[in-house]
Amino acid sequence: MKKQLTYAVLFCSILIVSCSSIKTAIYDQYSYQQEISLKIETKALLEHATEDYATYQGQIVKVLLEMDKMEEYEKNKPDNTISYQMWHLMTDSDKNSVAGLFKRWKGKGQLTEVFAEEASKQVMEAFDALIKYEVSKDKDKENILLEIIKTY
Amino acid sequence: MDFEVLLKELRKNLLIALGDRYSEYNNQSKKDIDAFLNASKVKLKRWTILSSEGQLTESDLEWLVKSQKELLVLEALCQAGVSKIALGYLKNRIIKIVVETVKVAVLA
Repeated sequence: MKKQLTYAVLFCSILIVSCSSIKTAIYDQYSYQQEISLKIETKALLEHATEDYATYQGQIVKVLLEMDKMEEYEKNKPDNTISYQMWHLMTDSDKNSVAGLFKRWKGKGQLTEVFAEEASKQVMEAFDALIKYEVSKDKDKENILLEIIKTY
Repeated sequence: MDFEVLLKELRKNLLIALGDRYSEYNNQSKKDIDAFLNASKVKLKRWTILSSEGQLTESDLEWLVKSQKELLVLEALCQAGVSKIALGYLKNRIIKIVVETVKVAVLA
């Protein structure tokens, strides 16, 4: 019996140590709300992408600043590398995502209707991936809670 | 543009990005990758048609194709993250089962 117990404790210890490499930040309501809010604000701005960039510059700068703040917020959360990497890609103006599209709009002055429509869909999908991942963290929390409820 | 070659390349890169670490979830990942690639195929065809009609410039087309590559990276990150969460949950369950089994054995 003592031997069995020792093996079990040893097994659990190894498992717990190996778990440190797969730790993931828990679901964050603030992140989720900000992701939805920034997606809607970006969509609203991109509906005007066929017009002069200068007209919307103030609002665009504000959205980009909010996105930069979110990147920093996610960067400083423990065990949150994936969310941070996703935000980093979307805020990098040299990548063809959210900040990259605003940069192109700025460079061109105004975008054509067809391109603006297609590019806007791409950017919305990027936000969707981010939101999907945040929601998946909630499933994890839900599963753990269900386990606790079942046990007690 | 050869769609099949491009899609094969995209699939290969996505699987490499996901890696063997999450092999337990490969079936689900593969389903998601296929869904993503099918969506990519539809987009690439539409963009090529729009480009041939002169509605998209060469530079527009290039921007959009690159944006699809960025989406691929986001999808790979998301898949890896979801697998990581599921793997963490599985390990929590294993620990719980071991602890419960030992508890029963000790009390018996």
